Amino acid sequence: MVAAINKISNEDLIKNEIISKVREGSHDAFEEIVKSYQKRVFILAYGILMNREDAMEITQETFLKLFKSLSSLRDDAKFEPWLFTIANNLCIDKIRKNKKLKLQSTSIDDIPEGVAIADQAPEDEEYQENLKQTIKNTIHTLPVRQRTIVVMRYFQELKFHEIADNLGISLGTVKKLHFTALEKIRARTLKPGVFNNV
Amino acid sequence: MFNEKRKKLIETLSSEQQRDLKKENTTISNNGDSISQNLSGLKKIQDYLYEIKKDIQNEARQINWEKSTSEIMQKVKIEGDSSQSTAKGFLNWFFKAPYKLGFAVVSIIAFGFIFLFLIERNGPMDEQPIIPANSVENMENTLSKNETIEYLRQSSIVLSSIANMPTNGLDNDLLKLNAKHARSLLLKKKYFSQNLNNYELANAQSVCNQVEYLLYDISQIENSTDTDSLNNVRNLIQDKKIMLKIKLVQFELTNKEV
Repeated sequence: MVAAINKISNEDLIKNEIISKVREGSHDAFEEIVKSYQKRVFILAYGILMNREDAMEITQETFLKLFKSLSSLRDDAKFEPWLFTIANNLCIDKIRKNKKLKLQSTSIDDIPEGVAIADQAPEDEEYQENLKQTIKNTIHTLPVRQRTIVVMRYFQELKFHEIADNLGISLGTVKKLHFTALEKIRARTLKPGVFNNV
Repeated sequence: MFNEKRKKLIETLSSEQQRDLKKENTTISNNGDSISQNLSGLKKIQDYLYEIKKDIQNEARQINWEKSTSEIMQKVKIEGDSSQSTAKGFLNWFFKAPYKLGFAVVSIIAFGFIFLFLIERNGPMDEQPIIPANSVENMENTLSKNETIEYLRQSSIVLSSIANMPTNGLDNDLLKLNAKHARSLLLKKKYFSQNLNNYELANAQSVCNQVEYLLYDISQIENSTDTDSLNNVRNLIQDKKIMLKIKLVQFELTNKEV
């Protein structure tokens, strides 16, 4: 336990030192940050945008913005929420701006209820793939905040309180939005009782 | 006394609430099948979400992160450096350490005292501005005038050199030198041509434009074999009385208060 605490505090110390070096203008220190976090930022952006190229673009923009604005971060402990907030905001901007994405995104009404059931057997691989695709499409139709929560919870495997910290909202709101999002996905993806046979 | 009553009331309300909750729970539990189905559905959705996560991770594995890092760092070096030099960055640096803040405060106070001392010593400043508004315009006009005079003077040297060149036995070096001068004058004209838009320099502008065409032709002649072009320029200088026009404009500009 003590060892674990020591490990965490050591990591924090190293992180704080790196951040202060970046503030002083060290490019090497910033490279360390990029290496440590770019994959996580990519996963967040990919989960929200469901497009690899856009996610890569957002990842690069996030770090560029981070470098420019890191001097205004007062509390080093809030570095991660700060980083993910930047990425999240850039994703929201991208969704607003990108007409292509708008065209690609499926309206929630376009997805027939229980579409995954079709006439296929649940064990069927194609069925599983269809279901996954339908869930992906449905995530894409969720309101941005619900989408972000689903992405953070399942793709980044963050805990609810961490999501709340990252998004700057209460724990209760996170849980409520998470449940609403899952309900929407379930309602749009599966007919009641579909998994009885699975 | 009041507290006891309050406690009893809370207990009663709580028991009523609990009873209602139990009732509601029993009602829902009668429909237990659908609840378990819903829960199982949600559980399966969660499983699929974790599956999708694996897909995304596979996607992430295919990316060359080292290349991505170097791309980011390149952009950071290009754009980040410039932003660091902004006033904001300077202020952040300046006010970071307390002693620097103290230094800033002391400096401001010191400057304030010096400023007040100077005012006291010299008396209040005149209400009239030191530089009248139209004097800047006058200054610009004078500069434009002087530049035009100088441009015409140098152009007239090149033009007269071309005009007075012997027809037989043309000097290649001299032609090249004139072409070089002509090019540099053309470049000069490009920079100060907007100054000629002033209506008081209208005559000068017209002559400068004619001279510019001739200089352009001269800049193209670098070989003694190109006698046709050379004669053409000479004829133009003569026919259009360019030298006379230059002299007149120079005279006008020198003696006129623009």
